[in-house]
Amino acid sequence: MKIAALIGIAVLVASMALSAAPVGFAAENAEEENTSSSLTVGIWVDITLSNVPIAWGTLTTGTENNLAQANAGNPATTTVESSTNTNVDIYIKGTNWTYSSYTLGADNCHYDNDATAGGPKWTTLSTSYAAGPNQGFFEDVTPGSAKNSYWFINIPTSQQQGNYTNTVSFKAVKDGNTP
Amino acid sequence: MQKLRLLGALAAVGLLLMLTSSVHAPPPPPQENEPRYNLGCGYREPFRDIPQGGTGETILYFYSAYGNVTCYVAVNVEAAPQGWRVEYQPEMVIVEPQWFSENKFEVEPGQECLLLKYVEDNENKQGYVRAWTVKVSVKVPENEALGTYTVRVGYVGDWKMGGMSAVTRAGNAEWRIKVVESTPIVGPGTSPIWFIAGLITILAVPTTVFRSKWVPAMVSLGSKIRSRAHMPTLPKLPGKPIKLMDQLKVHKGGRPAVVASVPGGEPESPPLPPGHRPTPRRLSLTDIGIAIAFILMLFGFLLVVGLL
Repeated sequence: MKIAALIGIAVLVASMALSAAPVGFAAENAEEENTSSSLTVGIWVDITLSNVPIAWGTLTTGTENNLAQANAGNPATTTVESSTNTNVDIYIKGTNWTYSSYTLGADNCHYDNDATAGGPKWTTLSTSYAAGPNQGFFEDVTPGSAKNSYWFINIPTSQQQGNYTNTVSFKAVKDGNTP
Repeated sequence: MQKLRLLGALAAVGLLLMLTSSVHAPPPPPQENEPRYNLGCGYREPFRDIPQGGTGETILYFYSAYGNVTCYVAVNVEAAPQGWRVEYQPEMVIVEPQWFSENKFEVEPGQECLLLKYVEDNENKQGYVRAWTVKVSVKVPENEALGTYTVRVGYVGDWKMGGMSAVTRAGNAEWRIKVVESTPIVGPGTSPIWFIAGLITILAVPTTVFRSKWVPAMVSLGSKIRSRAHMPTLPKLPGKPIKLMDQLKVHKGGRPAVVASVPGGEPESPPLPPGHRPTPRRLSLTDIGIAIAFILMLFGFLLVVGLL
């Protein structure tokens, strides 16, 4: 009979000990919600955009490579903040400009890593991100650093006048990830 | 003398004010006149292994420590194997900027107070930020082949800045999730040790329990009355059978009495032998052990049922 008692007490003690120890996925989730522990286990990507939105002011039709206004795309600054704990790749895409029923294609826009049109980093704005990994406009950017992009636009001769708007997206992913 | 007292009181009040203001004042954010469109995102990596037919969960954290403009973050699924169910809750969070705090602070539901490392003036620091959470749930089909699969959840932060070319900031969290064999005993939310403990209990306890007088032991534990071993046998009465619980109702003196109404009037309790005083049964170690084992057996059973 004492064996029964001992088994019962032993199992109880074991159960209490186990319940105090974090085991399994549920416990990991609980840990995940514990604010202090997140410091060591996560991927953190922290980006600040400044000198945006991008603006060109009023432009004349039939002009090319109009550089954006100062501190509004000339340049646009992307800062990978120091709280980021991995290198990142930054991809860029944009939509077409629209005004009422009129459209200005995204491919009329280019961006570069300097204020001069042309050169190795001269890139046409696309409506989708580059397909594969490691094809960002800025690659392998280290935390605590900033990257500038300079924005240019063409206005075709036949373009209808109006206030055109679009959206430009900067996508920052962990180095090597697919955008 | 009065002047000195007055000065002392004023100094004390001033000191108190200084102390309280230094405790409650948050550290000042960087002085910025220009808008800073900031969004941070954090997530756990790697994702936990998920058994076939199982579900795994993780959390995305969004915060804006460096910004000064509210950000509207929408989440979407960018990639998942066919047949998998990837869900997120909520679908959108509104992230308000808040500079790093030296001290932990209270947060509202759906938020977390996160401790992050950062650099300020070439000095390594750490501080708490207010983060908004999105819970991501990944459900694997039961017939999914074993292997490793990619799940990618994207997000877009929009500051609704307007203008000719408004800018958004996107990102994603990508996980390589390993699908492991499904077993009835091991799954998310538990450990095999629990099952083993339950199994031991289930196997060991009935053997000992049924060998013992478990009914009296349990009864004595629950109602602290004499066990049936010390109870005099009641005479068989005609009419309605007397229930066990009726038998167990006792007088203050410890002698059992029948309170159930029976045809022919209330029966009397049989007299005890002369000179015999019933001794109250004390709880033995065995009784306690059996009771604990019984509870754990029940717990083990429920655990197994819950897993299945």
